[in-house]
Amino acid sequence: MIVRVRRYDPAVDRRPRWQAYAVEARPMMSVLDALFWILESLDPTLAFRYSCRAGMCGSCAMVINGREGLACQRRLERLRGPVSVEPLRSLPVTKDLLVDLGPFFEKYRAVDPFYVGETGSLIGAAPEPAVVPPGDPVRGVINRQIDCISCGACYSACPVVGIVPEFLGPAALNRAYAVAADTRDSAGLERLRRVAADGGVFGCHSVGNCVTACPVGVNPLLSIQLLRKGAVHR
Amino acid sequence: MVALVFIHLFVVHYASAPSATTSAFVAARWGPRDGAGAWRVFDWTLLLLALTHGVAGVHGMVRDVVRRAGARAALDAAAGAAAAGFLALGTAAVLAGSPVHRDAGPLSSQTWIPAALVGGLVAVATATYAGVAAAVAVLIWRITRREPIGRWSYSGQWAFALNRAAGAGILGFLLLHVLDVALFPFAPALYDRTVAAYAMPYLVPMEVGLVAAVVYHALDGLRLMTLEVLDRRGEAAAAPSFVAVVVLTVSLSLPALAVLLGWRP
Repeated sequence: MIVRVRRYDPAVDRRPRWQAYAVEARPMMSVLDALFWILESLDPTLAFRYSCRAGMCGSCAMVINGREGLACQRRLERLRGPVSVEPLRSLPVTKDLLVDLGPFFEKYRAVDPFYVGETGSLIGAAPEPAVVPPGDPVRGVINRQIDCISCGACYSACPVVGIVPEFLGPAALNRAYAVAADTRDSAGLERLRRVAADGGVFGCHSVGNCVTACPVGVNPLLSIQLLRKGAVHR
Repeated sequence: MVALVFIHLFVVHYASAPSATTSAFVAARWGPRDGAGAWRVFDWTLLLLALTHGVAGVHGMVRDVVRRAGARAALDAAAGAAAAGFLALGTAAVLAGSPVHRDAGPLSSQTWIPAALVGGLVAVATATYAGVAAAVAVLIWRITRREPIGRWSYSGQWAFALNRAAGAGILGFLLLHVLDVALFPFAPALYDRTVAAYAMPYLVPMEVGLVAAVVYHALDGLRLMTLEVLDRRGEAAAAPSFVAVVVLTVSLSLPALAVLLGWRP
């Protein structure tokens, strides 16, 4: 199987280039396995990020055959060859498939992605955890939205992030909704005011790439839509 | 607005052809038989809604591509002023209504106006054809070179891009259309000369594209609103509903193509 990797070292290269590798594909081999095979057998200079190798940490998010995904979860045998592997979009490339997630987490921080108690306290001073029965509809609202693993796949897939630098992006807005929907959270109105401003939910064009790209089934667009409704009804 | 748009499409592109909407056609709509002025109210309301929607669309596009707050405000103001100007022109035409004689009218000696309008239509058509050809060429070039095609592997990307392109095209044509309809009360013969240009074979693909753009823009807007209202219940419907909108757009554009090619119901 031919695997084409988008190579780029900002310290050396003037522009990104494609490099093709002939990988000895094995059954059940993931894209991450293929990258390791290249690293160990063909090219020790290839750079990429990984951690859990189980689809839980989000570290190995990249663009595979044009779509964002976790390299550890995408099987080579299910991909149409030659397989192209690129770094996440809209983020500065540190080297090859390794991107600087700084801008992504700066926007995440901008929405205060933590619970704020009644006294304005942060999570450390929170009261006793709320008791929410398993079948409670309140739980159903945010159940999936808090599964986000902050991999950056939705951020990369979003065309608005690509053209509007101040747009907070799907992950940060999803997080804003998850905490705003917490009935114990006392910062709801402030959150709605913030996400209704420039760069917030009204900058989203409902493209929906974020929903398709999310490797763990979160629907950031739904969160954005619910925040929009909240901001309008505020 | 969507209902008014589809009625307008039916009247002009299905039950008739654009080149057949002569001064006699408009006079019948806006003339003495239009007792309570229902068609004039209809046309003016559609113009008001379309221009308002166009200004909102320009506002969104400006937010996407212009970074400086001052430039954004200036462009928003320019779009608002242009829309107000075109609304005033359209309102004047609607209020003036049907002239008594076909060869009358204060602008009847200004023969350069239809030439300029037809030139504008040809320019819009040429820009449309060039844009579509360039987009297809780039896509084919990237696919044949096995280059990644960016975010175009997502259906949502296509839905968004088509919506934007359709909106921009419709707005451009709407402004030209206001100008040519405004000729009707002030120079009916020149209006007829302009409308006759819609039968030019070179413009036919653009006219079919315009019908498709209007249908797609309207249906995709309804689709997005429906998905937003449905919340979680509609989240699995995004891609299938986009396919449905494309199929409906093609289906509803075919009768307009048949009419443009000479078929009459």
